Amino acid sequence: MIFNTPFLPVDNLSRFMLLIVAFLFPLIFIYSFSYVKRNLFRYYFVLFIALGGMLGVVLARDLLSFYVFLEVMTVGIYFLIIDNAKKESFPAGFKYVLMMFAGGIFILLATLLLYNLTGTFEIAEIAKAAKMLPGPSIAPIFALFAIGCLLEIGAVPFHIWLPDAHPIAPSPISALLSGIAIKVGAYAIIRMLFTLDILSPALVWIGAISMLFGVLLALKQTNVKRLLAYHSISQMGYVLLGIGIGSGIGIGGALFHILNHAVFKMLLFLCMGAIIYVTGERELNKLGGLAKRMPVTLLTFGVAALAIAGLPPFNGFASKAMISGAAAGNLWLKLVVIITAAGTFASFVKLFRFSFLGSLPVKLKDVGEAPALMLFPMLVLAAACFGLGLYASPLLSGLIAPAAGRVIEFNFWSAKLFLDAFWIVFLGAGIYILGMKTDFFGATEINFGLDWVCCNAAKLLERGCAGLKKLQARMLNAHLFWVFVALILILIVIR
Amino acid sequence: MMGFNGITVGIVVVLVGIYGILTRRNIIKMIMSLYVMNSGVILLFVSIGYIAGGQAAILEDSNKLMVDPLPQAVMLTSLVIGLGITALALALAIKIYDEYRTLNTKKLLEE
Amino acid sequence: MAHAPILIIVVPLLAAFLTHLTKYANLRRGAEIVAAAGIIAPLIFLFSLGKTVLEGNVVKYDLGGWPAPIGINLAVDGLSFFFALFVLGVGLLIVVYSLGIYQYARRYYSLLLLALSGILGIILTRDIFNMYVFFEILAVASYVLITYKRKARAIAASFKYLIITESAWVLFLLAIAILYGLTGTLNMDGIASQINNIYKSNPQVIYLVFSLMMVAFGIKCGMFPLHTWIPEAHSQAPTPVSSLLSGLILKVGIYAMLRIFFLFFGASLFLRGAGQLILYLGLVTLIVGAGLALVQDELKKLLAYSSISQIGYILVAVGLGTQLGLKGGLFHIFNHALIKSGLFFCAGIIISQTGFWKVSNMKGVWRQMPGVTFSFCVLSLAVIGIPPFNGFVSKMFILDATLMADNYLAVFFLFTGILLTAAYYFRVIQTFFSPEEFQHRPDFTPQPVGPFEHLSTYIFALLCLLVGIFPGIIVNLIQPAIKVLLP
Repeated sequence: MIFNTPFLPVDNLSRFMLLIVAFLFPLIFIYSFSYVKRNLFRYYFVLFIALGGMLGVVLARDLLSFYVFLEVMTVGIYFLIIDNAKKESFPAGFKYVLMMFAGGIFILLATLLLYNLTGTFEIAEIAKAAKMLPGPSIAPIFALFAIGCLLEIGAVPFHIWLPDAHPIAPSPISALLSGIAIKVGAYAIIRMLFTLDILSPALVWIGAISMLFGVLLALKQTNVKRLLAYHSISQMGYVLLGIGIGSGIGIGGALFHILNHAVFKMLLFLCMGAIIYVTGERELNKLGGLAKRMPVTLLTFGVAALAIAGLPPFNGFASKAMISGAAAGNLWLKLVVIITAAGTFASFVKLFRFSFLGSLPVKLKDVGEAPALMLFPMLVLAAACFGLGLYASPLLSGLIAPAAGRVIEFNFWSAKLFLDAFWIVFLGAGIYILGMKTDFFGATEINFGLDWVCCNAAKLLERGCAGLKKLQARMLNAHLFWVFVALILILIVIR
Repeated sequence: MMGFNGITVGIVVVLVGIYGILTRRNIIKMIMSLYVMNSGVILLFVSIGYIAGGQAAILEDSNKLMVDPLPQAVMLTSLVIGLGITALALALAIKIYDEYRTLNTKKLLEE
Repeated sequence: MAHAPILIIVVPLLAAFLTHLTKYANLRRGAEIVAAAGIIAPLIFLFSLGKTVLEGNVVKYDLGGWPAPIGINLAVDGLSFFFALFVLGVGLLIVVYSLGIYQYARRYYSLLLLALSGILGIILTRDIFNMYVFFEILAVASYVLITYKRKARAIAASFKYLIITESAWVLFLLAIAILYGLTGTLNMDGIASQINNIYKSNPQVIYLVFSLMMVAFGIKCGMFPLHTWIPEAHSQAPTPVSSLLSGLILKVGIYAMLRIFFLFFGASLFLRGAGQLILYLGLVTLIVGAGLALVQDELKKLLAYSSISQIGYILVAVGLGTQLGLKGGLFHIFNHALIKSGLFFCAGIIISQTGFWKVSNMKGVWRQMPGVTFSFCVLSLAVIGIPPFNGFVSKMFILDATLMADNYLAVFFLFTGILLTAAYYFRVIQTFFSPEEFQHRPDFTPQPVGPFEHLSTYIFALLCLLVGIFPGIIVNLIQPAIKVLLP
């Protein structure tokens, strides 16, 4: 089935995503040369399987191939996440793989329902047929598909796997995960919205909740990679906000933010990876004073932090400006956007201060800069942050607007936007100072919430199954008893 | 149909066998009940082919009505199968006794 | 070849007896050669029939020249061809696996061939009592095979299997008796033509016969609540016998169910109530099997419960009774035979090398046995239903069939089943990749594992990948089978 459908004619949206995968993957590959030292054959074998899956996902012209390559990518990334094989890797990987499979099955169900309605898997054909289908039949299909994609993205309330999987994976894999893997869900939603030609306002609220939730919890984290993971949730909330709003600026902003987040989040993970590689520490309270020892890392981290906070002239500024421009009408959304941006800024100030400023702990007195093979991708990405931000307008008209399939006009260099950036810095600084004073940036893990619910639900299930096991017949007569009970049962039912 | 003919007796025997196999704890008794069930069904099957006043199928008298030979042939096969199964079951029972020193299913619980 | 159908059954039977004679032939590998020949020859005969069968014709054969309804008929149609094909294929791979293990001598191979001959007899016959006889042949062979290694638990497991199956089989004989009493023939086609009349005049009897047969086949295939013998029997048997049991014998129960119910009771009669019953029992089987597998610590017992769960999928697909459902069900039968056999082989290698049965003791196995762990990962991904492996295609068909039937309860349970399956297989994979090292038992020496065992696991993994990427080949084999069942 897969090999009968035309596979390669690529439209602009796919080409856009392909550029992201194709340019960012080699950087991870190069970075891995220095970072990954054990089990090389297994690591690279699975890495390329994951790459194959990612390429297939963005290039797929029909939904079935999309699902197939999505699962291939998921399996590849699972084996990469558990590559470190520490004690915590396995629960994290387990959560990841189960939620990803669940998401995949939702997508598969939606695909099959669409196939039953339209008779084809191909996206182009479905788009044609969808015009003739009644609205009420499409809405539940899209809802199923969207739930599956939200599980893949890690949006609230399906984010449970994200904060566990990112810290425990090797750093290049965390970068891969945040940079590419969670984007495919957003790509899928955009693709489905275009195909079915509908809008989805519900995504606005999911996006908004993710933004706030992510940034709030990120402020409290002390594990550097877990902090970045919560920020991924928050930034993907931006993307969902843009998609949900659905206007040209919204979708354009979402696409642009997908690109930008891939770039700066990857850079952040690689920087943190460099720090972890050199110092061996992941907790903020054990780091400090690395500014003099790791100047290149400091520089690239600074670029990335400014980018994610949305300050000009970096790329994050451009895409966040577009999204907040799209949200212009709604006061609540504006508020959410500003609070999130300010919180993001505050969080990175905290990260900066605790890892680079301050005094160098005694244990770390011999650290130097990271190896060149790790610095090279980081510098490339930092340059990209800068360049994408400067060239935002030609990028918009040349790459993003065709990908979104519509004409998008946006003025990146207006004074109003610069003023917004100033407010972000101001509020962010305020949040940071408040946080430092009230010790909000504590290390107490939050033990309520969905993670607790899910883990306990799983434990309950296991206890239920163990109870079932006790009910199993162990004596021969009991076995036979069940046989005859079954006979009588069938006799009764069949009448 | 009702009445003291082969079919009802066969059914009764099968029921006796079922009762035995469900309630007895000794393995040998279970094997016996299994064979009783088998015999019951064989009896039933042969009786189905029975015609009152009919002649045995192997004798040659073309004037009289013959009892249906097919069930008898088929049941010979079935008897032999039952024999084989019972022999195997008894062999296994001996082996179980060798290993576990008991023939009580209550003591032969699985893990 | 005119006598091909009977030869397909008789050649393995003859080979079973010939393997004992190789004692006097002084051939070093005599038993294995005869065994392999005993499987390859029927394959050749089967292929010779292939072309005619796949076009939709039925190859009929009367034993001894006696026509129906007096004599015993054999018939090879699309469904039989499909089943016979993968039975022989998996049988060959079981022989390949056993080649490396020196303990398996003449007695083992002759019993294996006897079992295969029994299976082929069940698949090819059109006489219901003949089917009973072949089922008993198969059963006897399997009872003895389970106890081949003389383990105490295996003997107890085999005995329980014997008692449970035989007591149900007596009921099957009862059903045959009732049918003969009503129709006067033992030939399946003959009975099928008269069933409709009997149903009109006396439906209660048909219900009774149906229930008795359902219990009999349910025990053989592992339908809830008749699955209770499976965990002990499949886990205590020697490894190739486990894969014979899980991979082939369970499927033959489903074959019998398909043949009898679709042929006798007809698609319409079947769908009225029986289909729903099989569907819901299948859902329960699915969930119970998966739930119990989740809490197993013994690896082979986990695989046995997984078999029960997968049979649940097949029962759901069969119970739907639609074209797509049957396509999914038959495809899953084929896939599961491949996958589960491969999984049992992997488990066998790991158990013989580490000396442990329990998963919690098998930590960090992948360092010592990377190839087997890789095959295990591939095969478990296939069984969960992950593309691009074969399990995905069949599960997709089954999901699509339930969606088309608007049976959303079934869809929900299938979904849960897939997640539960992923949960227990990934638990095992995680233990295999654990950083800790397993502690060898002090009194245990790893048995030498030759290349044949590894080779057979790789072959299964490769087949899973190939069938997953090119499912069309198998679907083309299934289409004639479906046409037989739903004309």
